[in-house]
Amino acid sequence: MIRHHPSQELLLEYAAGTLSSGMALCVNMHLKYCPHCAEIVDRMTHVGGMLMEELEPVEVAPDSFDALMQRIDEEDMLAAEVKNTKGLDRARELLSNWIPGGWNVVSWKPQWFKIYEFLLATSEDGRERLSLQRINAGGVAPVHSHYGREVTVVLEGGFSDEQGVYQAGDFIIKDQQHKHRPRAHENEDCICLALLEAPVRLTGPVGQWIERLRNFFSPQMYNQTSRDSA
Amino acid sequence: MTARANVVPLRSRAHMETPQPPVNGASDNEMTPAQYLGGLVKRIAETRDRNAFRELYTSHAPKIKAYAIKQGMIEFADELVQEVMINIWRRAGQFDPSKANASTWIFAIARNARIDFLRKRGRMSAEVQVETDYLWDLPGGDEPVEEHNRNKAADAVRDSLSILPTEQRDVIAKVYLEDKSHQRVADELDLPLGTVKSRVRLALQKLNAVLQEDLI
Repeated sequence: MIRHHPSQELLLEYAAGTLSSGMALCVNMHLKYCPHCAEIVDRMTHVGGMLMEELEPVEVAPDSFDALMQRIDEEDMLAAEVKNTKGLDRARELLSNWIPGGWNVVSWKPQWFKIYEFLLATSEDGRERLSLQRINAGGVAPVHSHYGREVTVVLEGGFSDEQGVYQAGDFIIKDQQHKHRPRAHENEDCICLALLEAPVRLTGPVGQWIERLRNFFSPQMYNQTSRDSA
Repeated sequence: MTARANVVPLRSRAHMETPQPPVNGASDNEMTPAQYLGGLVKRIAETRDRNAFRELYTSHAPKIKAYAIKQGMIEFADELVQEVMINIWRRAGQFDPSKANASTWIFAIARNARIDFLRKRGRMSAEVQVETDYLWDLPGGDEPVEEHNRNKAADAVRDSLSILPTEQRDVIAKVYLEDKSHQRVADELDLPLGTVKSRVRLALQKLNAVLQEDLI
């Protein structure tokens, strides 16, 4: 059962269409697992529809409809296909844009003991990363917190940390205040979609030394200014 | 604490009830504006009916243009209108009145066209290389809901929006229609950021009762 959902504000911004693409992907992935939030987003989208209906109309050029039809005829626009995929298949379909064969066949890059990453996209400045993360059964990540927000959507399996237990479909946001140590369940691998708005900050005793070296070599990448993403 | 003077009954606003159905009012046997609009989309889908499309264009192109202008896309407003209308023409077959309300569907197409436009011009951060329609689904992709229940939910959302105090409603409208961060809304209304945040929160709490009602 899904216990961790995006906030109402985030769902609202999703429905209004003001989130970044990466954040929208994370929210949408959650919606594939969570009919409850999907229904809320439907209703919030409905609010958008009503607000648009109420707008004071702005005149369009009188011949604009004919121009449109001419373009439609010339470009011979076909009707779009009707898609029939449902539920979780749509979650896989969404990811298949990057990984056509699904997450079982990607070449995972080792990060730590029993921890792997597969990078899907980064922003131009390299501060924001969208990736799949895998913690093998029983694996434990190093203690860390974040410079910005880290969004995690559990796709398969589950993990736990100091703040809770997370299952497939759960949507989790951590920020600077959260120091945590994710641990995969003992009996199955955990696969997550993760969006990192700024690099991870290691906070354990060894991690702090690594952190100092990082700061020494590239201070600009790891400064603490967080960005307002919305 | 809620001053009744602030309450704007939405239903009394004649201009939101568009397009006008042949019969006014909405008892059980008569068409609501949404059903009428849905009928137009259905005709476009089934017979590529150009008259239906022209009618939809006449009623909604000016609203989509208003939306584009509110979003600050003044010089591209006509272009956006054309994109939205082409999408309506192409995707009419995907619209299913048992799953979504037609004006909600049109709003979602306009929203996605706007996002697509901004993404192609690189104005959104952290570009994810995937079609906008995959990131923002159009309503109605899920299991069909009985039309009666869908209408009930739609009415409930409308009613709850109509009893929001104006100040909260304005803030919500800015989030939906003007692509504004909380900070920009605060600057424009000359209010402290905290006030804007609390108005959004209050509005959401009120809408929430309805947004969460009868959920699966």
